[in-house]
Amino acid sequence: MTHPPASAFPPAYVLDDQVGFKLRLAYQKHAEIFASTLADITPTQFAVLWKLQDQGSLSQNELGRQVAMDAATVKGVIDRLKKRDLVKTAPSSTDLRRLDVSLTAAGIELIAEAIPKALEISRLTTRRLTKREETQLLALLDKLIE
Amino acid sequence: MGKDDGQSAAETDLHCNSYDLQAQIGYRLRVANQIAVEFFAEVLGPQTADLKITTGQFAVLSTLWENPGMAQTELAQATSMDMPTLNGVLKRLVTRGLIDVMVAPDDKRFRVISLTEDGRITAKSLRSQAHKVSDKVMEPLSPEERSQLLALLDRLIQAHRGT
Repeated sequence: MTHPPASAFPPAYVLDDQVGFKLRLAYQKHAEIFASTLADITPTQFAVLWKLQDQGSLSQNELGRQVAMDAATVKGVIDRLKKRDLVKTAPSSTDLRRLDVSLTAAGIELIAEAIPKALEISRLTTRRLTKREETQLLALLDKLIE
Repeated sequence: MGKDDGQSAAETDLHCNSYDLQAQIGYRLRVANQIAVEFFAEVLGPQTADLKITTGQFAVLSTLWENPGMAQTELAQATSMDMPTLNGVLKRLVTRGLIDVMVAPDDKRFRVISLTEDGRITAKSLRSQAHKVSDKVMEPLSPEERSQLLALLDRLIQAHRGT
Protein backbone atom coordinates (compact mmCIF):
# COMPACT_ATOMS: atom_id res chain seq x y z
CA MET A 1 0.00 0.00 0.00
CA THR A 2 1.38 3.42 -0.89
CA HIS A 3 1.05 6.19 1.63
CA PRO A 4 -0.53 9.50 0.65
CA PRO A 5 1.82 12.50 0.81
CA ALA A 6 2.34 13.54 4.44
CA SER A 7 1.23 17.08 3.65
CA ALA A 8 -2.30 15.85 3.00
CA PHE A 9 -2.78 15.39 6.78
CA PRO A 10 -2.06 17.56 9.76
CA PRO A 11 1.04 16.33 11.59
CA ALA A 12 0.15 13.22 13.59
CA TYR A 13 0.15 13.61 17.34
CA VAL A 14 3.24 11.94 18.78
CA LEU A 15 3.38 11.98 22.56
CA ASP A 16 7.21 12.02 22.70
CA ASP A 17 7.35 15.24 20.69
CA GLN A 18 5.06 17.24 22.99
CA VAL A 19 6.48 19.94 25.20
CA GLY A 20 4.56 18.69 28.25
CA PHE A 21 5.98 15.18 27.91
CA LYS A 22 9.53 16.54 27.58
CA LEU A 23 9.05 18.90 30.53
CA ARG A 24 7.94 16.01 32.74
CA LEU A 25 10.94 13.91 31.72
CA ALA A 26 13.38 16.79 32.21
CA TYR A 27 11.94 17.53 35.64
CA GLN A 28 12.07 13.82 36.54
CA LYS A 29 15.76 13.68 35.60
CA HIS A 30 16.40 16.74 37.72
CA ALA A 31 14.45 15.26 40.65
CA GLU A 32 16.55 12.06 40.43
CA ILE A 33 19.77 14.09 40.59
CA PHE A 34 18.31 16.09 43.46
CA ALA A 35 17.42 12.92 45.40
CA SER A 36 20.87 11.40 44.98
CA THR A 37 22.67 14.64 45.94
CA LEU A 38 20.42 15.96 48.71
CA ALA A 39 18.77 12.83 50.04
CA ASP A 40 17.11 14.22 53.17
CA ILE A 41 14.84 16.85 51.53
CA THR A 42 12.73 17.08 48.38
CA PRO A 43 12.97 19.88 45.78
CA THR A 44 9.74 21.46 47.05
CA GLN A 45 10.88 21.29 50.69
CA PHE A 46 14.18 22.88 49.66
CA ALA A 47 12.32 25.67 47.82
CA VAL A 48 10.25 26.48 50.92
CA LEU A 49 13.26 26.43 53.26
CA TRP A 50 15.29 28.62 50.90
CA LYS A 51 12.48 31.15 50.52
CA LEU A 52 12.10 31.42 54.29
CA GLN A 53 15.82 31.95 54.80
CA ASP A 54 15.71 34.63 52.11
CA GLN A 55 12.55 36.40 53.37
CA GLY A 56 12.48 35.64 57.10
CA SER A 57 8.90 35.02 58.10
CA LEU A 58 6.05 34.75 55.58
CA SER A 59 2.37 33.95 55.75
CA GLN A 60 1.51 30.52 54.37
CA ASN A 61 -0.35 32.11 51.42
CA GLU A 62 2.46 34.47 50.53
CA LEU A 63 5.02 31.68 50.84
CA GLY A 64 3.01 29.52 48.43
CA ARG A 65 2.82 32.37 45.93
CA GLN A 66 6.55 33.03 46.12
CA VAL A 67 7.56 29.42 45.48
CA ALA A 68 4.80 28.76 42.89
CA MET A 69 2.87 26.14 44.87
CA ASP A 70 -0.88 25.96 45.34
CA ALA A 71 -2.34 26.19 48.86
CA ALA A 72 -2.71 22.42 49.34
CA THR A 73 0.85 21.67 48.19
CA VAL A 74 2.50 24.33 50.33
CA LYS A 75 0.47 23.25 53.34
CA GLY A 76 1.63 19.65 52.88
CA VAL A 77 5.26 20.75 52.57
CA ILE A 78 5.02 22.95 55.70
CA ASP A 79 3.37 20.14 57.70
CA ARG A 80 6.21 17.76 56.88
CA LEU A 81 8.91 20.36 57.64
CA LYS A 82 7.17 21.18 60.91
CA LYS A 83 7.21 17.52 61.95
CA ARG A 84 10.97 17.56 61.44
CA ASP A 85 11.28 20.81 63.44
CA LEU A 86 12.77 22.66 60.47
CA VAL A 87 10.06 25.34 60.40
CA LYS A 88 7.69 26.77 62.97
CA THR A 89 4.32 28.49 62.59
CA ALA A 90 2.73 31.20 64.71
CA PRO A 91 -0.45 33.27 64.37
CA SER A 92 0.40 36.47 62.47
CA SER A 93 0.80 39.54 64.70
CA THR A 94 -1.20 41.64 62.22
CA ASP A 95 -3.91 39.15 61.30
CA LEU A 96 -4.71 36.36 63.75
CA ARG A 97 -6.46 34.30 61.11
CA ARG A 98 -3.15 33.96 59.31
CA LEU A 99 -0.25 31.67 60.07
CA ASP A 100 3.27 33.01 59.73
CA VAL A 101 5.94 30.46 58.88
CA SER A 102 9.64 30.81 59.73
CA LEU A 103 12.76 28.65 60.05
CA THR A 104 13.85 27.04 63.30
CA ALA A 105 17.56 26.94 64.25
CA ALA A 106 17.72 23.43 62.75
CA GLY A 107 16.11 24.75 59.56
CA ILE A 108 18.65 27.58 59.31
CA GLU A 109 21.48 25.09 59.73
CA LEU A 110 20.06 22.65 57.17
CA ILE A 111 19.49 25.24 54.45
CA ALA A 112 23.00 26.69 54.86
CA GLU A 113 24.47 23.24 54.32
CA ALA A 114 22.09 22.44 51.46
CA ILE A 115 22.77 25.50 49.29
CA PRO A 116 26.23 24.47 47.99
CA LYS A 117 24.73 21.07 47.14
CA ALA A 118 21.78 22.72 45.40
CA LEU A 119 24.22 24.62 43.19
CA GLU A 120 25.88 21.32 42.39
CA ILE A 121 22.46 19.84 41.50
CA SER A 122 21.83 22.69 39.03
CA ARG A 123 25.26 22.13 37.51
CA LEU A 124 24.70 18.36 37.18
CA THR A 125 21.24 18.80 35.64
CA THR A 126 22.64 20.82 32.72
CA ARG A 127 26.07 19.20 32.61
CA ARG A 128 25.82 18.11 28.96
CA LEU A 129 24.75 21.56 27.76
CA THR A 130 27.22 24.25 26.80
CA LYS A 131 27.12 27.47 28.81
CA ARG A 132 25.33 29.13 25.91
CA GLU A 133 22.71 26.37 25.65
CA GLU A 134 22.14 26.49 29.39
CA THR A 135 21.55 30.24 29.29
CA GLN A 136 19.23 29.79 26.31
CA LEU A 137 17.21 27.04 28.00
CA LEU A 138 16.86 29.09 31.20
CA ALA A 139 15.67 32.11 29.20
CA LEU A 140 13.13 30.07 27.20
CA LEU A 141 11.74 28.44 30.35
CA ASP A 142 11.52 31.86 31.96
CA LYS A 143 9.43 33.13 29.04
CA LEU A 144 7.18 30.10 29.37
CA ILE A 145 6.50 30.55 33.08
CA GLU A 146 6.36 34.34 33.31
CA MET B 1 32.64 15.50 48.24
CA GLY B 2 35.16 15.83 51.11
CA LYS B 3 35.89 19.24 49.66
CA ASP B 4 32.75 20.64 51.31
CA ASP B 5 34.15 19.99 54.76
CA GLY B 6 37.07 22.30 54.16
CA GLN B 7 34.85 25.09 52.92
CA SER B 8 35.30 28.30 54.88
CA ALA B 9 32.37 30.11 56.48
CA ALA B 10 32.98 33.01 54.11
CA GLU B 11 32.60 30.70 51.15
CA THR B 12 29.34 29.32 52.52
CA ASP B 13 28.07 32.86 53.04
CA LEU B 14 28.95 33.67 49.47
CA HIS B 15 26.97 30.66 48.28
CA CYS B 16 23.96 31.69 50.37
CA ASN B 17 24.04 35.18 49.00
CA SER B 18 24.58 34.22 45.37
CA TYR B 19 21.99 31.45 45.24
CA ASP B 20 18.75 32.55 43.63
CA LEU B 21 16.04 29.88 43.68
CA GLN B 22 14.04 31.35 40.80
CA ALA B 23 17.13 31.36 38.55
CA GLN B 24 17.78 27.62 38.93
CA ILE B 25 17.01 25.12 36.19
CA GLY B 26 15.14 22.83 38.60
CA TYR B 27 12.79 25.58 39.77
CA ARG B 28 11.98 26.66 36.20
CA LEU B 29 11.46 23.05 35.09
CA ARG B 30 9.10 22.41 38.00
CA VAL B 31 7.02 25.52 37.34
CA ALA B 32 6.92 24.93 33.56
CA ASN B 33 5.85 21.35 34.23
CA GLN B 34 3.12 22.58 36.62
CA ILE B 35 1.85 24.98 33.96
CA ALA B 36 1.70 22.18 31.38
CA VAL B 37 -0.30 20.02 33.83
CA GLU B 38 -2.66 22.92 34.57
CA PHE B 39 -3.23 23.64 30.88
CA PHE B 40 -3.86 19.95 30.25
CA ALA B 41 -6.68 19.98 32.81
CA GLU B 42 -8.00 23.27 31.44
CA VAL B 43 -8.03 22.25 27.78
CA LEU B 44 -8.94 18.56 28.04
CA GLY B 45 -10.82 18.70 31.34
CA PRO B 46 -14.23 19.47 29.80
CA GLN B 47 -13.79 16.47 27.52
CA THR B 48 -12.87 14.10 30.32
CA ALA B 49 -15.08 15.60 33.01
CA ASP B 50 -16.48 12.37 34.37
CA LEU B 51 -13.28 10.40 33.71
CA LYS B 52 -10.87 12.93 35.26
CA ILE B 53 -7.98 11.87 33.04
CA THR B 54 -4.56 13.01 34.33
CA THR B 55 -1.44 13.65 32.23
CA GLY B 56 0.00 10.30 33.33
CA GLN B 57 -3.18 8.45 32.36
CA PHE B 58 -3.23 10.27 29.03
CA ALA B 59 0.40 9.26 28.40
CA VAL B 60 -0.56 5.61 28.90
CA LEU B 61 -3.73 5.81 26.75
CA SER B 62 -1.91 7.65 23.98
CA THR B 63 1.06 5.26 23.98
CA LEU B 64 -1.30 2.26 23.81
CA TRP B 65 -3.17 3.92 20.96
CA GLU B 66 0.14 4.28 19.10
CA ASN B 67 1.22 0.70 20.00
CA PRO B 68 -1.72 -1.59 20.74
CA GLY B 69 -0.93 -4.39 23.19
CA MET B 70 2.26 -3.65 25.12
CA ALA B 71 4.11 -5.51 27.84
CA GLN B 72 3.99 -3.56 31.09
CA THR B 73 7.78 -3.09 31.09
CA GLU B 74 7.68 -1.65 27.56
CA LEU B 75 4.88 0.66 28.55
CA ALA B 76 6.88 1.89 31.56
CA GLN B 77 9.81 2.66 29.31
CA ALA B 78 7.73 4.37 26.62
CA THR B 79 5.98 6.62 29.14
CA SER B 80 9.07 7.11 31.36
CA MET B 81 7.22 6.05 34.48
CA ASP B 82 8.59 3.92 37.26
CA MET B 83 6.67 0.74 38.11
CA PRO B 84 4.86 1.99 41.25
CA THR B 85 3.64 5.08 39.35
CA LEU B 86 2.60 3.06 36.31
CA ASN B 87 0.83 0.47 38.48
CA GLY B 88 -1.25 3.22 40.09
CA VAL B 89 -2.17 4.65 36.70
CA LEU B 90 -3.09 1.23 35.29
CA LYS B 91 -5.25 0.41 38.28
CA ARG B 92 -7.30 3.59 37.78
CA LEU B 93 -7.64 3.01 34.02
CA VAL B 94 -8.86 -0.56 34.61
CA THR B 95 -11.46 0.75 37.10
CA ARG B 96 -12.70 3.19 34.45
CA GLY B 97 -12.92 0.35 31.92
CA LEU B 98 -10.44 1.98 29.53
CA ILE B 99 -7.77 -0.72 29.46
CA ASP B 100 -7.49 -4.51 29.77
CA VAL B 101 -4.62 -6.18 31.59
CA MET B 102 -3.85 -9.72 30.50
CA VAL B 103 -1.66 -11.90 32.69
CA ALA B 104 0.38 -14.57 30.90
CA PRO B 105 -0.82 -17.94 32.29
CA ASP B 106 2.72 -19.32 32.57
CA ASP B 107 4.34 -16.18 34.03
CA LYS B 108 2.20 -13.98 36.26
CA ARG B 109 4.81 -11.18 36.18
CA PHE B 110 4.37 -10.78 32.45
CA ARG B 111 1.38 -8.58 31.76
CA VAL B 112 0.12 -7.26 28.45
CA ILE B 113 -1.90 -4.05 28.44
CA SER B 114 -4.34 -3.01 25.73
CA LEU B 115 -7.11 -0.49 25.21
CA THR B 116 -10.75 -1.52 25.51
CA GLU B 117 -13.25 -0.22 22.95
CA ASP B 118 -14.07 2.65 25.36
CA GLY B 119 -10.34 3.23 25.82
CA ARG B 120 -9.83 3.51 22.06
CA ILE B 121 -12.65 6.03 21.75
CA THR B 122 -11.33 8.08 24.67
CA ALA B 123 -7.70 7.96 23.45
CA LYS B 124 -8.69 8.97 19.95
CA SER B 125 -10.82 11.88 21.06
CA LEU B 126 -8.18 13.17 23.54
CA ARG B 127 -5.40 12.84 20.99
CA SER B 128 -7.36 14.91 18.48
CA GLN B 129 -7.42 17.83 20.96
CA ALA B 130 -4.13 17.33 22.82
CA HIS B 131 -2.07 19.49 20.45
CA LYS B 132 -4.01 22.45 21.87
CA VAL B 133 -2.32 21.84 25.23
CA SER B 134 1.14 22.04 23.64
CA ASP B 135 0.13 25.16 21.69
CA LYS B 136 -1.09 26.86 24.85
CA VAL B 137 2.07 26.00 26.81
CA MET B 138 4.26 27.29 23.97
CA GLU B 139 2.18 30.38 23.30
CA PRO B 140 4.70 32.88 24.74
CA LEU B 141 7.41 31.57 22.36
CA SER B 142 8.07 32.29 18.68
CA PRO B 143 8.10 29.27 16.29
CA GLU B 144 11.90 29.36 16.30
CA GLU B 145 12.05 29.49 20.10
CA ARG B 146 9.64 26.55 20.30
CA SER B 147 11.93 24.29 18.29
CA GLN B 148 14.91 25.56 20.29
CA LEU B 149 13.19 24.69 23.58
CA LEU B 150 12.25 21.18 22.41
CA ALA B 151 15.80 20.54 21.17
CA LEU B 152 17.38 21.80 24.40
CA LEU B 153 15.02 19.72 26.55
CA ASP B 154 15.95 16.69 24.40
CA ARG B 155 19.65 17.37 25.02
CA LEU B 156 19.03 17.61 28.75
CA ILE B 157 16.95 14.39 28.82
CA GLN B 158 19.34 12.43 26.57
CA ALA B 159 22.31 13.41 28.70
CA HIS B 160 20.81 11.56 31.62
CA ARG B 161 19.41 8.49 29.83
CA GLY B 162 20.65 5.36 31.46
CA THR B 163 22.47 7.20 34.23
